[in-house]
Amino acid sequence: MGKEKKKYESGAATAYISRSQALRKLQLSLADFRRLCIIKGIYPHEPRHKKTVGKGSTAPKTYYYLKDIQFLLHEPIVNKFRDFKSFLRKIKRACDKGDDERAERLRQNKPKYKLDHIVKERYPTFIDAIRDMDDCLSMAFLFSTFPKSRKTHVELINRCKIQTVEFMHYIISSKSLRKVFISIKGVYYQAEVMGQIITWVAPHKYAYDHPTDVDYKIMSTFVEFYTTMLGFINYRLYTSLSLHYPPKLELPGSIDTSIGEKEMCSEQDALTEKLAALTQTLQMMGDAPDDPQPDEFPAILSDDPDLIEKAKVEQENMKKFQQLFKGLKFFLNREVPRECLTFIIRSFGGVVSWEKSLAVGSTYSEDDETITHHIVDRPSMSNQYLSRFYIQPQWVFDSVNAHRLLPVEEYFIGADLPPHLSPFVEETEGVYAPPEQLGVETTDSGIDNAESSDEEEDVEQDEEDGEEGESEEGEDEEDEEFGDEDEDDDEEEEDEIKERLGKRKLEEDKSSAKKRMSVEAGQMESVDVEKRLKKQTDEERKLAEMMIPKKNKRLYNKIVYKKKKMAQEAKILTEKRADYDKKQRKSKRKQKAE
Amino acid sequence: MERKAKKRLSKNKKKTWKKTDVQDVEDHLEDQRLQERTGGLLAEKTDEQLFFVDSTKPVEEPVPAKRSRRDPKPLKCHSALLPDPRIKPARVAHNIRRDNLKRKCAKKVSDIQNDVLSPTRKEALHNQVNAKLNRQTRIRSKKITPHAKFDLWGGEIDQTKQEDDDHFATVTRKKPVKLPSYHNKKPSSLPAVEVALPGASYNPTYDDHQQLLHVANKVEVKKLKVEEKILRQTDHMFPKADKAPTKQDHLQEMSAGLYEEEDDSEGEEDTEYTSINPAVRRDKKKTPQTRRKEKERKAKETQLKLEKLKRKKDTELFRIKSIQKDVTKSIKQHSEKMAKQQTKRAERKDKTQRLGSNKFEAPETELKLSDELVGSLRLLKPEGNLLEDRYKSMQKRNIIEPRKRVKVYRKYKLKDYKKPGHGAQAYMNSYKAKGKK
Repeated sequence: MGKEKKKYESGAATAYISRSQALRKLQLSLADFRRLCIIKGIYPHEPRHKKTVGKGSTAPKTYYYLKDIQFLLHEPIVNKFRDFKSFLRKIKRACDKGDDERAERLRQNKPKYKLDHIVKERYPTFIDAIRDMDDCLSMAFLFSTFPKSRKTHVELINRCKIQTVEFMHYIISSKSLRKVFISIKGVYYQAEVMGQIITWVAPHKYAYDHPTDVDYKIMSTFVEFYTTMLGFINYRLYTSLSLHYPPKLELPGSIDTSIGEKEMCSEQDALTEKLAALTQTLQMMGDAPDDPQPDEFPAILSDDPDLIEKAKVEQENMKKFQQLFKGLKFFLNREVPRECLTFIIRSFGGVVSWEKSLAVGSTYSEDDETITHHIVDRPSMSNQYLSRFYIQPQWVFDSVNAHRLLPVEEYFIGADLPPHLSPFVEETEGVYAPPEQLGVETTDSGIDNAESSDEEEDVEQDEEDGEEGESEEGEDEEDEEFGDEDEDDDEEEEDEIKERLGKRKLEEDKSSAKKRMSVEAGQMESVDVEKRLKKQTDEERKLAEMMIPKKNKRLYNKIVYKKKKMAQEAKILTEKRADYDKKQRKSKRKQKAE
Repeated sequence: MERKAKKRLSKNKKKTWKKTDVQDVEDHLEDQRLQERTGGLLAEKTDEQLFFVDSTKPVEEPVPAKRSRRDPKPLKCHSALLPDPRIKPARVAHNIRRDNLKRKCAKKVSDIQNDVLSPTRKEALHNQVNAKLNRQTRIRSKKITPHAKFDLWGGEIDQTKQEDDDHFATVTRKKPVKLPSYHNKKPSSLPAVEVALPGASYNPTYDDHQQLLHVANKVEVKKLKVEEKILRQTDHMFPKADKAPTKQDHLQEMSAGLYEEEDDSEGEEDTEYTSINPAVRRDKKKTPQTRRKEKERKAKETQLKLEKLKRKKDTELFRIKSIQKDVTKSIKQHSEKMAKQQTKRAERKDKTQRLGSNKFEAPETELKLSDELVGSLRLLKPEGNLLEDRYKSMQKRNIIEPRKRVKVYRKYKLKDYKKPGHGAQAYMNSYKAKGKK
C-alpha cells in the first residue's frame, strides 16, 4: 500500500496562495505588499477551482500564484521596506525625545529604494518597454496636471511634468505623431515610436477635481514605477536621435525674456518653463545627421519588386505627412489650448508663438507679417490682419487626421465647424463613408477667391464629361502646393489652370494627329504600381476561390453576397452625394450670376 | 425718605415730655461744633474759600466709534488672519553665536598652522574631512532625479558572472533569480488605453453621437431590468395594505375543514395506507436454501456474461472497420471539444476576473446629451475623470483588485473649535460650556 494521499497537498491548492498568507510569508504590511506587487508587476489571479484552492471554502478571496510570492521573497527592495519601517520608528523616538540632531541625521540617511533593476527585469529589451508605454504615458500626463496636495507628492508631480515634456520634445523632433482625437474625456494621441504604435490620453487643461473612490496610494505607486521607466526610455530615445539628455534648447537665450524674469524665479526654473513651452528645437550632440535615405532593404523581405516599390511610395507619403505644417507660421490666441496645439503643430514641422504676456516661450509677436495662420476660438475678432487666415483650432486636428491641409474656409472665425471625427475608427470595406471622412476633396481648395473659384468651377464642369481622373489629380496637386502659398495664391492658381487647359489641348491635338503617319519622341512608360499590385492580388484571390472545397463554398458565397450588397448600398449613397454636390454647386453659381 | 408716623402722646403730663426725640437737634449742634473746631462754619465762608478750579485733565473713557454705513464690514475670511490668542509668541534664541563653527575649529586650525600635530593625528583629521565629503556626495547621489543617467538597456550581459561556480553564486546571491515562466505575461489582452467611441468627440457627427447614446442607454436599461426584477421578487410578492389578510381571514383559514360537511372526508377514509418498503416479517425470512440458490444463480449469470463478452471479442476481429469508424468519431469529438475549450480559454483571457470580495463595476460611459453639445473647444466642459478611468481600466485588466473605500472609524468625536478671530473670551466661554455638558 502506498502512502495515504491527503487532501489539499498537491495541485491547485498548492499553486495558489491567499493574500493574507502571502503577507505572513513576506512579513510585510498590506500597504507595503501592495506597493511591492505593483512595482514588480505581480498580479492576483482568480483560480479556476475555487473550492480546491480555498480548501473547501468558496468565499471570494484574493489569490496569488505561490511561485510569484516565492519570487518576491528574493527582492532586495523588501529589505528596504523593512528598513523604512524601522527608520520611521527611530525618527519618532528621536523627535519625541527632542533629540533634533539625531532626527536630522536620521533624516539625511533616509532609506530610499531604486527601481532600475526592476525596470530591466520587467522589460528585458528596450522594445518591450516601448510596447508597454501606453499606461505609463497616460498616467504621467495625468499626474503632471495635478496640484500639490496631501495625496499627491510634489516630487512625483514634478517628475511627471519634466518627463512628459521631454517625451513630447522627442515626439516633436522625431516627427512621430500620427493621430489626434479630441474627446470630451481628454485628448487621445497616437504616435509611432521605434516602429511601435503607442496610444495615450492626456487630460484637458482644466482645474482638476479629485475623485473620491480612487486609491491614490496605489496610483502614485504606479506613477513612481512609470516615471523611473519613462526616464530610462527618454534617455534611450534622446540618444537614438543624438540629442542632449537632459534636453538643452538650441538657443536658450533667444526668447525675449519678459520683465524681471530673473528676479521672479531661478534660472533653472526659467529654463524648464521654456522647455515646457515646446516652441524651441532641442540641441543636438555634435552635428545634426543628414536625412536618412530610405532603406534599400525595407522591412518586408521579399523579392517582389512591386512590394518594394509600394513600400517606397508609402515611405514617401509618410515623409510628406510628417512635414504637413512645414513653412506655416501659427499664432495662438489666448483662449485656445496652448500645450496641445503647440505639440501637434510642432510635431508636423510648423512654428508656433503666442502673446508675450501670456506665457513663457513666445517666439514672435502678433504683428509679425509672416504669420500664416492665427488660431482663434471666439465668435469674432476686431483687429484682423489681411495676410493670415483666422481659423478655429479644430482645423489643426482635422488636418492631421486627414493627412493633408484641409480647406480653411470651413474653419474660419464664427463658422459652424464640421464634425470632428475620430481617427481611431477603422473603416470596414464596402461600408459607405462620407467624403469628409475619407478625406477626398469635394470643395474647392482653401483659398476663397471669387474669380478664381468661378473659373475653376467652369473647368471642372468641362472636365466632368471627359476624364474625371485627371481632374482629381489636379486638385490633389493643388492641395500639396497650398501649404507653401501665401499671398500670390490666385496668380499661381490661374497659372495652373492655364497649364492644365494647355495639357488638354495637347492631348486633343494628339488624337487628331494619330491619323497621320509620323514618328514621335518616345515617352517613359508610367507604371502604376498600385494598379498592377491590385491586379496581381485579384488573380491570386480568384485562384484561391477556385480551391475552396464544395463544403465551404456556400458560406463563402454568403459572405461574398453580403459584401456585394453593402458595396451596392455604398454606391447608391455615393451617387446620391455626388448628385447633391452637383446641385449645390449649380445653385451657388446661379446665385452668383444673379 | 419716608416719614415715620409720630406716636400720639399726651403733652399735658411731664412724664411724657422726656420721651420726645431730640436727636436731630443734637446732631445739628454737634455738627456745628465740629465745624467751628475745624476751621469755621461753612455757611459763613465765601465761594472762593470753598471751591477751586480743577486743572488736571480727566481720563477719557474710550467711546466705541460708530461705524458708518459706507464703511465695509470686516470680511469673515479675514478672521483667519487675526492672531490666535492661544498661540504664544515665538521664542527667539538670544544666545546664538554666529562664529560658532569658527570657534570650534579655532584650535584645530591653529594646530594645523603651527604644525604641532602628530602624523597619526594629521591622518585622522584628513580622514575626517574626507569622510564628511563622502557622506555629502553619497546623500546627493541618493537623490532621485527625473533624468536617467545611463542607458539601462545598453550594457551587455556579463559572461564572467555565469562562469563562476554555481554553488558559490547561489550562496553569495550573485546568481539571478529564476523568473516564473509566466512572469512577463500580461494578465489581460485588453488594450491599456481604450480610445473613446467616435461619439465622444467634442464635436461629433449626429450618427456617432446617437450610437454612443444608444450604447449608454443599453447599459441603463439593463440596470433598470435588474432593479425591476428585485422589486418583482420582493415587494410585489406581498399584497398591498388594502388587500392584506384581515383577522377574519386568518380565523377562517385556520378553521378550514373543522365545520365542513363530512361527505368528502368519509370517502377518503376508505383508502388504505401502504408503504413503499413494508417492514420485513418473521415468516418471510429467507431460508439458507433460498440463499444458496440465489448465490448459484448469480454466479451463473456472471459466467454467462463473461462468456458473452469473450464471444463478442472474438467476433470483433470482423468489425475492425466499424471500430475504426468509432475511433475516428471519438477523436473528432475530442478535438472539437478541445477547440471549444480553447476558444473559451481565449475568451476568459479578456474577461475581468473576480479578484477579491468586491466585484468589478464598469464605469459609466461618459457622454454629452444632445443639448449639451457646444461644438466649440473653448466652451467644452470635460466629462468624466481620467484618473478614475485609469483606475477602472487597471481593474478591468486584472492588474489590481477592485476595492471599496473603507470608512474611517473614529472612536471619539472631534471637538470643534471657534475661529481665532472670534476673540479669546468667546472661545473660552464656548469651551467652558462644552466642558460642562
